[in-house]
Amino acid sequence: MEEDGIEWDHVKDNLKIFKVDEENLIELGNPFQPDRSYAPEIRKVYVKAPLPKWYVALLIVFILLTGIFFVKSLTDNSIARILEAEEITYVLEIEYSPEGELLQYYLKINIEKEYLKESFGVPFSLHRSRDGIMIKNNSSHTLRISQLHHRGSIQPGEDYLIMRAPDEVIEMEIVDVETGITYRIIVHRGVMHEEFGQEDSDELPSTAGDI
Amino acid sequence: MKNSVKKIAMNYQVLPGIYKDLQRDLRNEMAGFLIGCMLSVDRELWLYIGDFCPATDYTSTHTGVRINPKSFLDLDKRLAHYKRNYICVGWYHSHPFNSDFVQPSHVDVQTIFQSFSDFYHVSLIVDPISNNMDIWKVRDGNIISVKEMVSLVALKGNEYVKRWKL
Repeated sequence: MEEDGIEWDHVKDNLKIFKVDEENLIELGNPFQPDRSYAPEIRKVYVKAPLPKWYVALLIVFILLTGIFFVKSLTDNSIARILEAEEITYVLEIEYSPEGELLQYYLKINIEKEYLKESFGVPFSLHRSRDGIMIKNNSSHTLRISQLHHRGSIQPGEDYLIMRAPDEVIEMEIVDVETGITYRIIVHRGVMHEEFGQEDSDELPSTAGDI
Repeated sequence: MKNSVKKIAMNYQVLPGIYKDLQRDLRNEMAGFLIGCMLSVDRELWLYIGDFCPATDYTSTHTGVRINPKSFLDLDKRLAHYKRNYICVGWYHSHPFNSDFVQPSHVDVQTIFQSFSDFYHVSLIVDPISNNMDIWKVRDGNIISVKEMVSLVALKGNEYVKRWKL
């Protein structure tokens, strides 16, 4: 205790007076001031008033509800996007080797594949042809075709020929007029000799020149 | 040097300790003593509150507290242990009313004038629920608030000073 700077000084009116240098007495602020702007270690003592249990419970419920509504709003947005069929685009990519061997073909769905898996159904089929690619409308809807040099529509049950050189890359869009769904098709290279989208494709005509 | 206190220096550890003590009973008032000494700082007379001592025997209700004589005897024993001739420089008690204002009740006024009316005596009143507090003393026959005079202090060489590099 002696090293804290307080020293015996004198007695006055039967009261013992001690002496301390101001430099040994470090003032930390007035705890009665409204802002209580004193040292942090002391300040935390005063804000230690016990929180009522109902307040904590209310806080937890609020956090939970906020989380639930947040997740729900995300889900709602996803469903809303699915329902807007016009914005859904299927991308069909077919790739062949220069020798005409099928390398791969696959369908890309731009958004929310999981929702579309079960209802997935392509309303048309693609067939090889001596002059190009034959598109057959297998649906009861009208399909609209849009390609660099071709624009037209296919009525239900009809076929449509896209002329194509053996190594030409073709990009086209087929729009189901009724659903508004757009299918974007890319044939990369090589000669198309596989059918897509129909199981009994062997029975379909293999040339488009007859149509 | 006139017998008038210019400043009340309170060791920074005293208030947290008192708060902790008063939290033990939030239904009835509690009381204790303030312990310290008179300091001469730059030729001014300061009151230094260096410690506190909870009353060991008191009678209390929700709205009043009386310190019984046995507490004063226990206080004397406690003071004898201090090396620096500390004296009782006042008392503290709680007003567990959850109120914005803490001021002496008529019971408190009686206690202050009977036992704590010397020029250096102070009366600290704390509301341990709302965390409001005020400090009072007798001057010219009246009880006045002297909270503007209070300053928390740490002494050189203290652990606090070392830790916070003050």
